[in-house]
Amino acid sequence: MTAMTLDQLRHDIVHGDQETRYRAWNRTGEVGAGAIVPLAELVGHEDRMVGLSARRGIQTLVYHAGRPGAEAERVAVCAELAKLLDAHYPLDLRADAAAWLGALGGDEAVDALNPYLWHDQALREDARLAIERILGDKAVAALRDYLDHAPETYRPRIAQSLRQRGVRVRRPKDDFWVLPS
Amino acid sequence: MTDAQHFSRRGFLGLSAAAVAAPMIVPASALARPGRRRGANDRIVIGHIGLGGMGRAHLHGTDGADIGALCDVDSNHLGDALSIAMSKGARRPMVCKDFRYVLDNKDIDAVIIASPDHWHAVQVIRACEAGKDVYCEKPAARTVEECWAMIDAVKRTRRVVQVGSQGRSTEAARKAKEYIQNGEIGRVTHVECRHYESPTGGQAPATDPPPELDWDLWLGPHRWVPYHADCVHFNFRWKMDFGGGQIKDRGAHIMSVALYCLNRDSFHLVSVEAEGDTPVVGLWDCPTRYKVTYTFRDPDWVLTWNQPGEERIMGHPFGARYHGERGTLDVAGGDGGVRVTDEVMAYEPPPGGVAVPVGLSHRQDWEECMRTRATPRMDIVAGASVSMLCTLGNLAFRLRRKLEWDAERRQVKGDEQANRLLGEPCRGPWHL
Repeated sequence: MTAMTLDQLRHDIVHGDQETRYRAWNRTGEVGAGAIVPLAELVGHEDRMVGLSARRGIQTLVYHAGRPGAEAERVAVCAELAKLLDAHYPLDLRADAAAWLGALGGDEAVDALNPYLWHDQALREDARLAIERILGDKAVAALRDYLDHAPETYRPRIAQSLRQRGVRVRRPKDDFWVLPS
Repeated sequence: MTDAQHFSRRGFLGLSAAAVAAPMIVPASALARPGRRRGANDRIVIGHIGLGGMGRAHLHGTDGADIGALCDVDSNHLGDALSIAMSKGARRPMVCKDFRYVLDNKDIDAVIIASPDHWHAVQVIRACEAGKDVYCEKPAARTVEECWAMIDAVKRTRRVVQVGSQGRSTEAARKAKEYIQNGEIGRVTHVECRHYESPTGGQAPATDPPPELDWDLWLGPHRWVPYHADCVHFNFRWKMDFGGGQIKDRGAHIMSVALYCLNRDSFHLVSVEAEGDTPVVGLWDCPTRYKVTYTFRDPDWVLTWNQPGEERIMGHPFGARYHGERGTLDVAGGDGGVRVTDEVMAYEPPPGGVAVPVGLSHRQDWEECMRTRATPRMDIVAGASVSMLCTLGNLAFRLRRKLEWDAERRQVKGDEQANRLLGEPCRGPWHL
């Protein structure tokens, strides 16, 4: 079987036959990082099952790129995923992109997510969860940096992420027992 | 943030429109301090958290006088549950949608948690910290990290926690265990679990949630996703993020019976491999055809999960075949309806052999352990162990690669992404 190309993927993922779409999204790993933005553009397709196939294709690629020994692929996929954080994409896809970066990203993903932590209230919580999960000092530094600048009501979340990363943070305490206003 | 917004017992009646009233019964906590033995006649006041299908089944099993609280994020569930409770003679139980009110209520001695799986760890840990004993539905948790956090919390707080894999409390499971432990099929080298496929479906579009459902509270620690009518209540099971399919739903029963029969609640896992098919259409994404292979050592044995299996077990649509060096044993079912052959049911251990004591039902075992502070039959270590197995199978499937398990470090060897996915960050304000 020859490797799936981007053109073939584009063709098959919008195909009317569900089995063809199924085979296509299962093979996105063969196409690589270049498939991410084209698939993202299809997530909002008028046929919801096409959109779902596109989304699953990206997820398959994320897991594929995270396999041991695929560092270059991982970095390339993260760079493309970062583009999906942009506000012109639907919020649920942006939230997925943040989660995928959390599952795959390194320092470069922290750089991509950090502006959304600071400046995008709609995506802030997703960015926090993603950064909390990213290994390395840079993620911890990003959370520390934001702790003193976050809105007062949001600081407990940042403090909690830092605790999750093993950082001792005395205040603010977590807001588990605080009722939403 | 004002002081009034801080959650406190003093404040809950004033703050919660859903809170109807505090229970009017004298709780066991007034008679026995947490962690101490309770008398045989002391009442144990129970808060029911999660009142969907399983939650209402548990409610039916609770004496009306012991029902102290009803909690669910769906007001329809609450209404149904309140009707059941009142018909059982409950006296003005607290009714609320936020479980924190239940945990903060000092009149509640214990909670039964039958919320969706992604809530279990947060609720169990916080319940233990609040001094409540817990019966938690299976599977114990959604991630491996949650399993360890639950074990740590239960040990730290010394609470009695029973996980709801009730199959091991059946007479058939007891007889199967005796049969195996007395060597009737020799050393068991392979337990072959069989189950029918996870369903396909989930065609509903994203919509606003219905007014009776607090979607934000339903999601809880899970990251925000849009509401789909096909993915809540019973059907969350068929979403990998929330449930995990048959392997987590029924695997938590069938594997629990296997580990019980083999005396292997603690095990040395070596590797997990999985292969199968995701549904072709629909939001439900748990594998339909599915095979997972777990390899263990000390002793060496293999556990497989097969969807579907080659054939039914004693005519039952799910169960397990135990392959020993000298024979096989079929154990049908795995939940409340475990079945073995008449020969095994009639089995008597040889003189000097292993006799497994006759036990109480799963629920009674929990209630008895709350009084005696003994360890229940499906304690958190057993519950978490089974949950970890099921979860790791799904992780291997999602990643499409074999996972080599490092038992000492509690990690997957050489796979950074897999290790990240052993946990799941919690959306605030919830956390482990």
